[in-house]
Amino acid sequence: MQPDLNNYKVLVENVKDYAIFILDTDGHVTSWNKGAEKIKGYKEQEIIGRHMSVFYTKEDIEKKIPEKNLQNAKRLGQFEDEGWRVRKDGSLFWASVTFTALRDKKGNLTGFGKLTRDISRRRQNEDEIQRLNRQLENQLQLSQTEVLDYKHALDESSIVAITDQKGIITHVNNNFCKISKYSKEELLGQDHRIINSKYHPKELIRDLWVTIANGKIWRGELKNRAKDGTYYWVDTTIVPFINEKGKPYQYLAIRSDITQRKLAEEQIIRINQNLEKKIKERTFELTEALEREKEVSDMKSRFVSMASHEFRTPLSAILSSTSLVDHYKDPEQSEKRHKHIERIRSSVRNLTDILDDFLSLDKLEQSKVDVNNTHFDLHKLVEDVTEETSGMMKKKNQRVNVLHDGQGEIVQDKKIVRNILLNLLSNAIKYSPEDGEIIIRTASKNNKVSVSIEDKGIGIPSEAQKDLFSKFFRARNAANIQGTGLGLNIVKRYMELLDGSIYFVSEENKGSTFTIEFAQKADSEKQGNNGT
Amino acid sequence: MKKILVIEDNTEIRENTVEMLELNNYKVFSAKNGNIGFQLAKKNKPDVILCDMMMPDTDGREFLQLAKNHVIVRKIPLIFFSAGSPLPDIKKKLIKEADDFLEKPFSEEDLLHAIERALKKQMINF
Repeated sequence: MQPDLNNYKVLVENVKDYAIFILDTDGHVTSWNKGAEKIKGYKEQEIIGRHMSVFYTKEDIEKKIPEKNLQNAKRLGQFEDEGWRVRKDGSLFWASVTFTALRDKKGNLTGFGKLTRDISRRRQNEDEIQRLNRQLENQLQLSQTEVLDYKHALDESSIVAITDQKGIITHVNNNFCKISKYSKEELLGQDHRIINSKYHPKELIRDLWVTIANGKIWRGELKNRAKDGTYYWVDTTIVPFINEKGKPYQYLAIRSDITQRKLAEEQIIRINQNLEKKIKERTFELTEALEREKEVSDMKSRFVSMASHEFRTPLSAILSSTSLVDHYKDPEQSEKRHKHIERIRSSVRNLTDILDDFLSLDKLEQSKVDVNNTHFDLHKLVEDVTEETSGMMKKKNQRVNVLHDGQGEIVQDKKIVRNILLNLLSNAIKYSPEDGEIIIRTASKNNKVSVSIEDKGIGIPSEAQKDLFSKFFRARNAANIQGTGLGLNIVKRYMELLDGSIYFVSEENKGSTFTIEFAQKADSEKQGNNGT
Repeated sequence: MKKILVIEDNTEIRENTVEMLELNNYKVFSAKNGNIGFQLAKKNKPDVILCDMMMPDTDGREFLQLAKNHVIVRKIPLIFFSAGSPLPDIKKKLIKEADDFLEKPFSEEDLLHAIERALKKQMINF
């Protein structure tokens, strides 16, 4: 089939994206299509007959590039070139050009076909890609340098370790080895717990793992144990590295040594604790001292009020009796005079007794009482004491009933036993009603002697019983009855000197029974001892 | 003759006080506790009552309560005496409610002065 040349011509003339035209053998334009017009800016009538060198830059013309192109095409049959071309308006574009040598049937050159494409955009894109690549390369290099710098700085300044997600050490730096005293070889592949000090509560360690396993950064202060068993403190930041699934695949631990600071802190805490302890001790001592002082002060005020009352009552009797003696000057009033003189004597005795109590107590408190054991008859002593107090009893019309059991021969300090009995019997009389009966029982058994004195008096209120032997103590129901509150305290101290015991059974408004118990024969070593 | 009531548990002091007053021409009644004293006061209507504050049975405070609630006895001048000094606050309050106060030991002169002061007051009271 013969090709329809006309159809080709139409097709070529209407191609818009390619400049297709024909040159004569010298390079003059002989045909022009729409693509050529669009790319180069010349209309057909403007360009036909003109030499194709108008499409080249001055530099290319000087280099005779147009001629060389044509010669190449002539020689090779076809030649491709890329380069800058000039439009009618003088602007440049990057062109891809194909020359084809046209020949007749005999092989004689008739001209050249030229196809030109504007590939400026492609060229621009390539340039951009190249520029970007260069930039990327620069940046990558910069980043790599920076990362290395960072790593260097980190290694210089910090203790660095990397573990896998299970806590197995995969990297440590020199600082890590230095502080932990392990070598790199000893650490790599080991569980990170190798430096665990067991100092921290489990909750803290659990919190650490939960935090980093969830991809969060953990910060805190940890105490670690070095290879040699010493401890060091590190301020720790653990950064999890997250994989594309969002799971941590390794942990970077950056630490700094804060051992000195921690030691200082611990020392401060220790000092504080010591201080607190000291303060507590001092406070306790002070409180105790204050309490003692308060006790002494209470004692003093109790003493003052007691002494005041106990002294003022006999002094009252003395003062009034003295005044009454003055009234009875006549010889026939001698009986009344004598009564008052006797009253004065009795009151002075009363005052002397109180003073004696004080002196006894003072001696007892200073352990200045000597124990002088002698043989004597306890039964006889009880009767003597009863006789001594008969005056008091007579006044209140009281009776005493003495019952002995066993033998009365004992070895003890007679003076002390006498004082004890006198004290207890006086109390029984004082706190018993008029016409009351007092029973004294003695007993001796297995080298033990006991004396009990029973009264049917006011009794001791139960709440007062525990304090009964305290100095200056007076029970509620005895407040208005004369007494120093010293007697039972003295008795108790005397009983201690005798290595004996005293106890009582009492009920308010029913009466009391006081019982003393001591050895029938006192320890001879005690003889002459001052009773400490 | 003016009548005086002495309430005091201590035998010596009670007897001595009565004796001193009798020697100074007073008619004297005496009691050893507040309760007996109050009965005597109601019965004999004394011009002055002397009462000890500390007594084993009914004491001065209880006597004062009884006296305050009696239409006649409450008008009789009351002199407290006490051996307690320094005085606890409770006693100081009690003394304020009485007309006078004598501190033990007191002299015959102190006693007579106190009685005379009380008698003057009694005259105003009636």
